[in-house]
Amino acid sequence: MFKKLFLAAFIASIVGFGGVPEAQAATTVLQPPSAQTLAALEVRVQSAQMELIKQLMAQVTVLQEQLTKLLAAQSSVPVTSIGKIVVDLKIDGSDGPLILKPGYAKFTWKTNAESCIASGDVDYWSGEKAASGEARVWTGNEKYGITTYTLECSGTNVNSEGDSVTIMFDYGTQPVSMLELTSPSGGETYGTDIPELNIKYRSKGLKGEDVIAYLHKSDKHYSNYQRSKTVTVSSDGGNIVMGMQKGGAQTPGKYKVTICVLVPGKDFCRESGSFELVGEAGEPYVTDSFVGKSIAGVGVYYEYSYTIHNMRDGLTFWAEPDVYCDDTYIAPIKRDCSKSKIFFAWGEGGVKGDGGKMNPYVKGGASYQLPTSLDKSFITTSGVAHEFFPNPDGVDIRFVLRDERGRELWSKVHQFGFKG
Amino acid sequence: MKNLLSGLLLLLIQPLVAGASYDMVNFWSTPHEAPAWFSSDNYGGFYGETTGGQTFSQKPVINDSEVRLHKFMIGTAYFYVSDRGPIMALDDLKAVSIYLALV
Repeated sequence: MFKKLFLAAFIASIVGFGGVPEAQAATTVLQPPSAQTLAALEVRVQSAQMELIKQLMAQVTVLQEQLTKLLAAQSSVPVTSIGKIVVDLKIDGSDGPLILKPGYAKFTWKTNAESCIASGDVDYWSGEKAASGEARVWTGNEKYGITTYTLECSGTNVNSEGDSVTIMFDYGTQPVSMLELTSPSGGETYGTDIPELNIKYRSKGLKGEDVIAYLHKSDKHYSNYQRSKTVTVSSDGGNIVMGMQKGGAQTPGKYKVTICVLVPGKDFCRESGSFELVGEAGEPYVTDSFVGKSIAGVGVYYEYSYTIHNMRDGLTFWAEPDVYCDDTYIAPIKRDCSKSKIFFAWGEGGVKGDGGKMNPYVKGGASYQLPTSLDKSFITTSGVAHEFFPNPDGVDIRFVLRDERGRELWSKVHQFGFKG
Repeated sequence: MKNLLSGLLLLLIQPLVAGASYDMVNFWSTPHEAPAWFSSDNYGGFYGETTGGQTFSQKPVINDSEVRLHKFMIGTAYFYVSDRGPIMALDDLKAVSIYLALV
């Protein structure tokens, strides 16, 4: 009330000094005011205006305080002044730094801004967000190190503001990443004729990484192995299907599977227990062993011993190199692909006779009809003249046993390295 | 006296029984000690300690690509933290390169 009276008095005084009643104006001769009067008037007007401004500012302040209290009551946001964006992000009710168990976390945020952008995790905390809200956010089990989750908010004609919460995860006693081979686990028996081997694994913290499986003899880990295609881990586990008719490690015997994560800097592998591949009764299959090799000036010679089990008529033995002899390939010596051949002999030490020759270095490979007189075992001596091949490291030759219908019964890739 | 000797012995063996140090080989396949605490270093990075007493730190990687990347270090192991997940790289440049290749 006092303020209103005061204001009215001031306004009246200003009007009184600034204006002249019309009745007086008709009868009074107007005289210009003196400079002193004008100066006094100016001082009074300025003083009155200043006072009015103060009054108005006081009212604005009162309104500001009331509005602030109102907003604070509505949102609990500690708004301190109008025209400034305030953002409050909390994770599990905390402003951080925070140590959490991996999994879901409760994100809550409040702001007086018009729009917000989240960042910190492109998959689970990114993009536009409402001005306020809450969400269960997957913080994952792959968040190693310290992660900062941010909410940046903006409005019209004001500077954007943001709030962040930093998190570090407590993985407990579990490895941050885990790879476990669940099948085969060891002790299983499979037929050599199975078309594929289903390898199952469980994993943790490896989503998006590549894994690969190797099938190998129990006592030989990294020689004569068969390799699967690379598989990308999409969840906490999966399987790798390894075709059993390619590459040919599937002769009867004891085997293991090894799976490996292929990540630079953190490669690690898990090996299965030993399981057995058994041949069907009466079905031919091959066991083989490395005999020796020699390196000559113009090529290499490798000897392998093969034993055919359940031998019968009509079987053929094939040699299929991954590259073929090329007479046109530039070489320092006279080229003659016919000199690169594989020689067969059988009997103990190959003394029973010359089993013949075949030149696999023509496209399609070459086959050798195994004679029925073959006494189970035979030896191949493979001579490869390296000048004829573009690959300076060597040639891979796939040896295949086929039945009378051309069906693969067994195969294996032997590496003919030119060096060492 | 007996208690004093026991205390000394405990102090001596404490570093041995504390968690083994991490390196680039064992870090990804062995259990991790829980972080006991961590704090901001006021320069955009963090430092802290595990429950087993191993210290760790995480520093921002300055780069021209405006990629928000941090290098986390514990023992002799290190990797990079990004909003696109952890990155295993030998150095900062490779880490930035890998980050840009991640979609």
